Amino acid sequence: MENQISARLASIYGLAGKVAVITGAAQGLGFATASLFAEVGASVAVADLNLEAAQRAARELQAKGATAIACKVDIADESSVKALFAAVDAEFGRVDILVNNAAYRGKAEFFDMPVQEWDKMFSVTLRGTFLCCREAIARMRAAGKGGSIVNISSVSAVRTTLWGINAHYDAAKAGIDSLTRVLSGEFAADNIRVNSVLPGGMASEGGKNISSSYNIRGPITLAGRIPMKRTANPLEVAQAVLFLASPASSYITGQLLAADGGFMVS
Amino acid sequence: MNTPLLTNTFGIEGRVALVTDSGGLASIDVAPLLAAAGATVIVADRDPEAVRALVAKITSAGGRAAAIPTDVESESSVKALFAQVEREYERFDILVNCAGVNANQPFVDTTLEQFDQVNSVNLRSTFLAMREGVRLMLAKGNGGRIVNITTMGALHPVLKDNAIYCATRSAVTMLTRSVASDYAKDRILVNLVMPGAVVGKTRFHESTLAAMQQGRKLKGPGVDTERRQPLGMGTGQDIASAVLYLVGPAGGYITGQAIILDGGFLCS
Repeated sequence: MENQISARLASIYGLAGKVAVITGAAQGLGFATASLFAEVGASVAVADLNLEAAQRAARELQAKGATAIACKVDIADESSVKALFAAVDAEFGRVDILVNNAAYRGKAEFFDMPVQEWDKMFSVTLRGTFLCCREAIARMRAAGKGGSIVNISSVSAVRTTLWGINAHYDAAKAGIDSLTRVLSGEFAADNIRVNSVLPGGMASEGGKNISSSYNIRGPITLAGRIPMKRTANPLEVAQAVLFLASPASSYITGQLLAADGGFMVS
Repeated sequence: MNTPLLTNTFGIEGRVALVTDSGGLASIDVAPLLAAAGATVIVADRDPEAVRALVAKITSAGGRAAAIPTDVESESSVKALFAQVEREYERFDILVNCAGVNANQPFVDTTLEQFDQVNSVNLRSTFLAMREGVRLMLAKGNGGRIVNITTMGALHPVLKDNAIYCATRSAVTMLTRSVASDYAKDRILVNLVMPGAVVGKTRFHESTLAAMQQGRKLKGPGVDTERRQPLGMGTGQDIASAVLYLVGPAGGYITGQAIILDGGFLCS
């Protein structure tokens, strides 16, 4: 029975034989996603701004028997993104799944925000996602076997989560959701699906760094505003990413899936 | 492939699940998949033969299932259903509301009786099953998962002459989100699956079937499959995979959400 169940589940939610590129994959949600994908059969390109951390992460996956490579990428830099996908071409010869997880997490008071801070947010979070999508979709189309792109957005793209310091982040994440819709419509005929996952509160490394250096306040921080009364661990969000990357969601494109413990209905 | 991880992530072994309806594509694919993932599945619907046929299909594939013929529109019948579940099973974990009826006819020709019939299946029966289901989940004290299967037509007109279907299904959206908000503290998670062009996901009302037999064709943006269904038609398996994701361990932080299975319609 156990074997029957897992064989059935593998055919629906498994990624055997697939190649996945995951940005920001050295830690937090990106690493949780890379680990989960590797465990269900994918070959993974662990792409990160920090090459040493990416190498550590890739070695950790390899130690568990997975096929993984580490790549340095600065998604704000077009040539760096092209180099990432060239490395993936050389290693795997294909791309089936792209998870756009890398983002700039800076915070700034609205009136004091240097325009350079605004520009950095958009050059990384939105422009970088565009660059990775363009490279991946070109390869998926050429191969003619479809593909799945999962963009990591945020509930803050559709609801106010933090006050005063998050305008550029929220707007950039909303831009990602728009990209999700536009690209899904444009490339559905090629069976390339594009969806967003919207985490709510999540206890990831990136989030912890921010909490320690800013006065964080806003709806999502108020007592009782997360109906499940806890933040997510990155694995719970990674499981949503896997659902959208896997054959289970083969009829879903252009959609937003929030893993937010009920924040959007609170 | 790490098979224990797969079953720990998506498996529901040992859980007790209840699926309403037995004839639409949603139920005939959802119930077998929940059983294949390890749950004991109770099938509840008015037509005893259809219920038994679905249960037989599950058990012949090696799954665990039980038939409890139920009129989901009748409060006493739904109460009797849940009383039986409480008596016969130690736990109650999952409720999937698949029952629905699609009444496609011009708005101005819709009688109040037809409105009431459609509303009775699409909204009122969902309320009844959810109320009794949440009561039983609270009594068992182990949380629970509820998935309401409605339609993309609750978000956007897909067919012409379908106002009552869409409106009654749309009401289920706020029922879902409100109950999700009310019972998250009890670890009862409530979500929607909204299929688009998945033919046969619900039954057609007799009046619609009669009109179609007389040659009336369905019209509207949804039938323009060339331009409005870029991923083609969906299947009951697509619905079942989304439901299993939501009711299994992987769906543990998701509540009040809608998974929209529209093959790209809303972005077309």
